[in-house]
Amino acid sequence: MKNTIHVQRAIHKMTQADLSEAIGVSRQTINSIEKSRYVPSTILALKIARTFKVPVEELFELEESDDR
Amino acid sequence: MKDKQLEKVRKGDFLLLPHYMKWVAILPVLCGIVLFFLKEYQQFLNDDVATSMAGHLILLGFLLIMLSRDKFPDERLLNLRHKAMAYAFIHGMILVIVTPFLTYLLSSLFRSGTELYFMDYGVFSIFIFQIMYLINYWRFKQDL
Repeated sequence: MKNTIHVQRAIHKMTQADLSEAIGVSRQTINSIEKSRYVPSTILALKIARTFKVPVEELFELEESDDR
Repeated sequence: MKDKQLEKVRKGDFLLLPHYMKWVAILPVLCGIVLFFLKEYQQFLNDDVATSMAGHLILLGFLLIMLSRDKFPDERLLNLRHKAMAYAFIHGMILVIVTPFLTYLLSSLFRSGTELYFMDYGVFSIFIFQIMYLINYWRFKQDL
């Protein structure tokens, strides 16, 4: 699953630490999500979308490998 | 149930101990190690009881470390904790099963007439699970 969190962070001029504080997780978790090493729960995905005021589909996108 | 308790149950960390317990846990581990090495010099317990007690103190300490909450707990760490427990169980079991045969194989290389010997894995196997858990949990956390 691809995501555009780092792009949204840049648009909103937020660091990983800022975002982690806003949604109540560790900075390492944000880093893992951005690198697609960790797929967040629906709750966390919605919280991130709410922080950036965008729909969740704009943040996360399925890849071909996810269809297998 | 109160809101705060419900929130803990939802997060899945209601069974975990406070973070500071990680440091409290050092005490039984140290006591166990000291007792193990100094058992011959004390007169209160016989050798077997002292060895067993030392083992159990170390197990208690590691259990407290395993069940202590992280400094900044979140869903990823909880996920890793569960993953580490699952891996620890599988790795520990494989090790317990393979060890007697591996020991037999290695010792028969150097000595003739070696017999296959299954030692009592009661305390030892639990210790393996705990060590495996801690190693896996640490390894997953490094994998950023």
